Amino acid sequence: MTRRSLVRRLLQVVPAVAGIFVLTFVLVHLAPNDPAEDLAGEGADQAQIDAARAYLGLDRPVIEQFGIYVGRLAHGDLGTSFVQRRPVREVIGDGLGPTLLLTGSALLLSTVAGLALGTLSARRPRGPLDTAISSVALFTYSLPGFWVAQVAILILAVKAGIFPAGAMTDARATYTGLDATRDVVRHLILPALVLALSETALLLRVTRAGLLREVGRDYVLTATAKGASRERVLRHHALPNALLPVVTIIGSRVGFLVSGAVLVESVFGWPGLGRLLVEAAHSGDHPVLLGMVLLVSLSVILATLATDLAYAWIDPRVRAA
Amino acid sequence: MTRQHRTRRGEGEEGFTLIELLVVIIILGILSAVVVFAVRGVGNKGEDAAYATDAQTLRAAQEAHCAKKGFYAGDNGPVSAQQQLANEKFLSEPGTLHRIETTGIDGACGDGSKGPKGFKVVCGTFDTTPPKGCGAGGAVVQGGKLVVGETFTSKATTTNVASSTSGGTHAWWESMYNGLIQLDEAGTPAPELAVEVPTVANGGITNGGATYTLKLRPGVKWHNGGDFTATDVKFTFEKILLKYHARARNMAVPLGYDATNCVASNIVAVDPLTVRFNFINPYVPFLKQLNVTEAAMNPANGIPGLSTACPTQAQADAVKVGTGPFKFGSFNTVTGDGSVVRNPNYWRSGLPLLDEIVMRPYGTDDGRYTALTTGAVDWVWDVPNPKVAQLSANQSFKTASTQSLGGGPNSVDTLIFNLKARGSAVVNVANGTAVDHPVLGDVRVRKAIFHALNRNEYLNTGRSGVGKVSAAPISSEIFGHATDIPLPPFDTAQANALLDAAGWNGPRTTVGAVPNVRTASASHPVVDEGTPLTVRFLQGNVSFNDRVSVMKSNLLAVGINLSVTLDPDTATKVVFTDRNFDTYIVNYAHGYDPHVGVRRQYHSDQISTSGTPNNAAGYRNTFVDADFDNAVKTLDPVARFGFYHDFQERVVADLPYVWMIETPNVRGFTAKCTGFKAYTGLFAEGASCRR
Repeated sequence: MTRRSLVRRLLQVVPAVAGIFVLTFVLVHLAPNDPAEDLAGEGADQAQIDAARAYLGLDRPVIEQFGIYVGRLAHGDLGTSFVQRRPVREVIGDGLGPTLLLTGSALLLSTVAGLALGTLSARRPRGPLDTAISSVALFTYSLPGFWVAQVAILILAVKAGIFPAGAMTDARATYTGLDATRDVVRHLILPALVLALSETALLLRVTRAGLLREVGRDYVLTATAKGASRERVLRHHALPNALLPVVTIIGSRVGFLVSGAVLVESVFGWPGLGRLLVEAAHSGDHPVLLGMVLLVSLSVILATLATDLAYAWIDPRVRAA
Repeated sequence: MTRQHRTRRGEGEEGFTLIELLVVIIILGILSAVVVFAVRGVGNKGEDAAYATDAQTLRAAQEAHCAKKGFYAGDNGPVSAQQQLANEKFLSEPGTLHRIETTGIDGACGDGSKGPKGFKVVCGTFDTTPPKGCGAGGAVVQGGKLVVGETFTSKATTTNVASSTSGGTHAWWESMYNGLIQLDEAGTPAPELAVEVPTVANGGITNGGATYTLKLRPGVKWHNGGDFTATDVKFTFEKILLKYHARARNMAVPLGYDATNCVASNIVAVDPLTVRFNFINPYVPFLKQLNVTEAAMNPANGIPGLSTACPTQAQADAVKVGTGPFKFGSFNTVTGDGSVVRNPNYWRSGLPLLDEIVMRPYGTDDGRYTALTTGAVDWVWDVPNPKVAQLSANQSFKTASTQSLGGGPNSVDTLIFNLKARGSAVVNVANGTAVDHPVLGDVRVRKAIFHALNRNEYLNTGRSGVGKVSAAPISSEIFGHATDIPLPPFDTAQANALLDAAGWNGPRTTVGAVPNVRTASASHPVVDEGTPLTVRFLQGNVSFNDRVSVMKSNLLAVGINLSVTLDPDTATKVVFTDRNFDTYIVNYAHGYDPHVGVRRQYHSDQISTSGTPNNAAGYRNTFVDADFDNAVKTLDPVARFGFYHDFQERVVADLPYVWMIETPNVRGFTAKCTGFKAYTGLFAEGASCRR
């Protein structure tokens, strides 16, 4: 990718984000739930609801609200949460850590496991091991994440008692230092595994398909003819070239890292951005919703851009094009 | 060649094939079918864990006995061992423990390193002695932490239960506060921050019920160290309650409140420990509006830097200083956990027993329930209805049903009939012109619907039997409930007869896919002949699916087509602002007194388009208005009851609503903890836990 095309891609980001933002702003303000009514409380009369609406700044025309929001945004101010009454930046920042921990761990797990199992599977296509791995992958890919989460809790937490059933820490304990870390890891394992499961299956299949495609190429035949072992041919020659579609998948996952895993976070009570998103939508917390959309759309677009750059780095043909 | 051949086959294996995707779909289908069966029996693990913990508890008691006396307690059977330990105060409450054998102890006395395996748990055989309440006998456990599974999160900025009626806020933070009066489960007043309940006899109620004088408890300290005085009471009412508490605001007009300047000159701090409320007219329900849920006390200096006459909502919400048994501890903005810690200067001597309560939010009902059954939390406010029987049968847990809820007590599922033409009711009512609904304006149709609805089935299907069928317009839990006014019973024959008489006796027809729907005959006075009897029902909550199915089938059995529209987002607006509906269900909270929660459903001054859930039926009856107007100022309970009885007779004749079921909440908690008061936010004031 040339510098010029890179700049062009970067410039494309601006209208894309702006478009998403405007659309979301309009949709959020068209939503029927009224945060002013929630704030005014049960039994409030119209004057009290109107006062709450004025307090939230929702009594102004939508276009004026948009202008105020954009003006603040230009100064890096995402506004104040209606519900938590503190800066949206802080609210999102608090959820970002747990979400990145969960989704990052899941991405790492699925990437390592997917690549390893995909390579293993491609060593002897249609052999017993490949058949077993592929079958398991197909099965796990079939399972919806929230269902896996429920079953995992039922079996591994409730029945077996191996893992905690939810949350990020033990509420009864007051751990510090290494013990606190161990406590978080203990709570992290189950949701991360659940989240990684279907991703692993997909990565495994794509890795395997890519490898099988590459092993038929002339350069692999040449390497084999020169006496390289099957292992070496797969790892050092075929695998790097088989990684392009894998990178695409990983890139798309990186983009969604910050949006969290809404369902899995909800089922496990994981205090991340996914759960925050659900709460904000439920309570009509417009500033938080808008902040989240902005963050997610930016991260997805930038991750896509990074994936394109990675393509060029991995494959010289793309770079030349 | 072989390799090339294989490779070609491999080239076709990009990701998943069509066949594989079909397999995926089939697996999804199978999973959907079996998922219901797969998740049954979740609670057993918690019971097993409780057995193990009980064994540890008994072992700890035995070791303590051993350390003090040199031998283990009991050698002639398990019950006697537990009882002996209890008698000697080594166990707090043996009745809450599972029956545990002490035979086969593998360690000698003093060998505490052997672990709990010296005690064998006898599953299925329990000591069923009822647990005693905290302080009612046996040793109580001082200290420890209680973990509560909560529904809502992000409550750090709204910690003041005096400025909010949110059920979530009250569940989280009510234990930091006190009211002037406490109400028990039956709603009976008792002193709290007031030293006595004002009565006519003790001079606390004068001027025919218009003046209340409350003597305040001396020596009560705020969490920030100041003394609780009458100035604080006046401040709380003027700046917080009458301004921001949705139900306390009902007292604003009777107290002559100036909401612009946040002044109520009718509230007088007579001296530091005496406060007087001078209502414009007699106001009888006052004592029911002074408990911690309805009127939690705030300190006059609770809003630092308050420079204006009225605090903002945010300033009011941010108060976190009370006189309650627990003080604000912390709020973790990352995990969403909150905590309150023991108030060592609490005015009730010796309480609280717990050191800390941790509130942990869970996003789903199931998540919260699982947290309870796996031991992650000790208490949940609302056991999901389908789980209540399962949890109640589990010896490791206890349940407590209560009608008292933080967001509003004594709730009743109420089917509303819009008595006025859709969308035009308020305008016409305001002009004094009645525009009756063409179908529901006829009381015979309303009565037929009442007869057709099987409210027992509604209760059993929609709430797993948790609750009870309503027996009168006023909740059976509060004053005024009539026991001698029969409601129309489930009787399809009566329903059919009424509909025939009302002119809905034309030939049956099919509406869409709904067969056998009644039509109007030529004798119907309002609608055209042949018009099918379709009643629209606006469903505002998906959790009512089962209940709505019951209603649909009940009504179809008498030829009424209930046309359901699910609209969770705008239903409230459609009903209470636009009034563009036929029927709708509201879970009306009746409060602790009919004046607070019942009047708003019937009084004609409560018909409005303000968006508040008040007289949604558009019901207007001057005699009923008079009953409420008289009852609020009648001190004599017999005479007052008479007004409410008359009101109920009239509305049972008019039937603006169907009073479906009373809907309690069921608390669930570990059997290791006792002494809870399930009906109040001060639920853990006297609670203690064994670990």
